Amino acid sequence: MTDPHGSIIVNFIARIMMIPFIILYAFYVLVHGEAGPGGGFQAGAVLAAAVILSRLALGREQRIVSTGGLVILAVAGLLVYALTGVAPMFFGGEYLDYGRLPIPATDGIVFGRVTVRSIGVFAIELGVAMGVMGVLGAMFDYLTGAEWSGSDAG
Amino acid sequence: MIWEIELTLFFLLVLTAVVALETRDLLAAVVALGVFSVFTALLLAVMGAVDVAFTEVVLGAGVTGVLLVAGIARMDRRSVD
Repeated sequence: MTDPHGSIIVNFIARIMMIPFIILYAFYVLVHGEAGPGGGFQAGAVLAAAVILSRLALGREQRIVSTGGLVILAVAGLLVYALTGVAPMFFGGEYLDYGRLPIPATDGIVFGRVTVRSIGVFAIELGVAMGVMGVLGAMFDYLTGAEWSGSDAG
Repeated sequence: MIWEIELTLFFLLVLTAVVALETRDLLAAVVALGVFSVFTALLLAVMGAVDVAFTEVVLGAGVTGVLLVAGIARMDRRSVD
């Protein structure tokens, strides 16, 4: 299932047109989640769709992230979420108390309309997106029989 | 909230669910499940839950279908019961 399709049309459409657009749209969903429909989970799911498409259309050699990379991404996402959540507890706040993150700011505003709270929310969303993308892509790799260790990892 | 649209969507939802349950070919059942997800997403969008509809159409109709097909690729396509 993850062998390259061999068709130049499938390869071109997937590589040049669909995968870059899907990734761009995922980042739009991630950043725009505050003002419209979207957020970390949806962005992660869309990114996972790009990862799976790269495996289906381009094959194992040309895919965009390796299996080990996906597992590392999932763990890193969980770590980003946990650290962003725990960090305010060392500065007098509570768990996930974004306003107390140790970021230099005057009156909670870093610059322009960027507040400490919005940076914290974005870090959480980024962590969720990385985690969802990594887990969904790794699930696909597991189902199609990819190796979990050895030359594939990294 | 137009009740004719909602009723039609609910009817199609039940129809695709029955198709997914009753068909003997597992691949056809996965496709019916994907269509079921699309109708669920449309229903959620009609009800105003755009966020949930977005998640449903990405996960239900996209990723879940691919994962189920990847699972079917490792076994017989025909149901054994």
